[in-house]
Amino acid sequence: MASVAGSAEVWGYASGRVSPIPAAEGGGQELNLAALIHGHMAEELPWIKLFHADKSYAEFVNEVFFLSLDEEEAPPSAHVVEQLLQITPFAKTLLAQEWSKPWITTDGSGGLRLSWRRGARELRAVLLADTQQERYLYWQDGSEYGAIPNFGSATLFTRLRWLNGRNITESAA
Amino acid sequence: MDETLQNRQPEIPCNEVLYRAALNKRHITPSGEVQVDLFLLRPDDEGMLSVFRKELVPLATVMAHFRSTKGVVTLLTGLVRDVGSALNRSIDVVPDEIPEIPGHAVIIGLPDRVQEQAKAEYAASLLRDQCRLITANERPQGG
Repeated sequence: MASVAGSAEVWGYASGRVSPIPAAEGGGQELNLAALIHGHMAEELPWIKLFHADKSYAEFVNEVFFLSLDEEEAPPSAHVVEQLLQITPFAKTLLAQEWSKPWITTDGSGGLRLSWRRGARELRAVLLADTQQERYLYWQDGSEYGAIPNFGSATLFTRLRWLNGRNITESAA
Repeated sequence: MDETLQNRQPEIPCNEVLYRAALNKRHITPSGEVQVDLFLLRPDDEGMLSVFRKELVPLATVMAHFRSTKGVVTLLTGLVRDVGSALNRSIDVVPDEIPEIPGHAVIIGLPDRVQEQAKAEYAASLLRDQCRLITANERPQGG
């Protein structure tokens, strides 16, 4: 993505590939987000601040907004994108140059999958469109594996450091 | 699939090669890396992952069967069954003939990605590690 710093890219979320669903049809979350982006609260959102300050994070966000989808493939739901934007700034900020861009795909049902792989270690953040289902963070190290349900931004940070070769118990300092 | 189908059909030998078609961009990266998404069950799959038997159907026929494919991977039947051993469950490949195309089969016994998230992801990792991408973004000239 060539351009990263303007609000036009952000607007793309509300008016572009993540197609808004009219409130009458049960949608409307996109409109709320657009209001946040363009309203006075926008500058207080961590992801907006980071979007403007950090080129690699802006590229990551733009890729999410403009995912290359197959024909008839459901785009990520607003609920899922909002979760992603809540969870990722903390990890990106603390990891700084250690952050590596994930392979980003939909799950075919309005969810998002972020996949990282480094040697034998793998990490997959799975955000589901179904509000009845919790997001989870899958980790794998060779033949050991597990899933952390309803993970938060600190867990994502810890596991991304682990992916980079740190011990899971190592302190962030 | 009929629940008794597994018992009525002759077993597929462990050395048989299987084709699995990658139909979505998310299945294969632009650099040609197969992604686990190709081996995760979706609601439409009804618990069965669709494959084709190389012994019974040419690759060109498999590719022509779909409107568009991003690539086709091969798997060895025995190694698919070994994934079951790694997860301490029965995973098998059984014939599932359909009228449109010969050689159709299904992988059964894979963990459900909603009910058994970690196991489903791990099984998909193992299948991804075993598969070989034999063609991407192009149709073969022959079978």
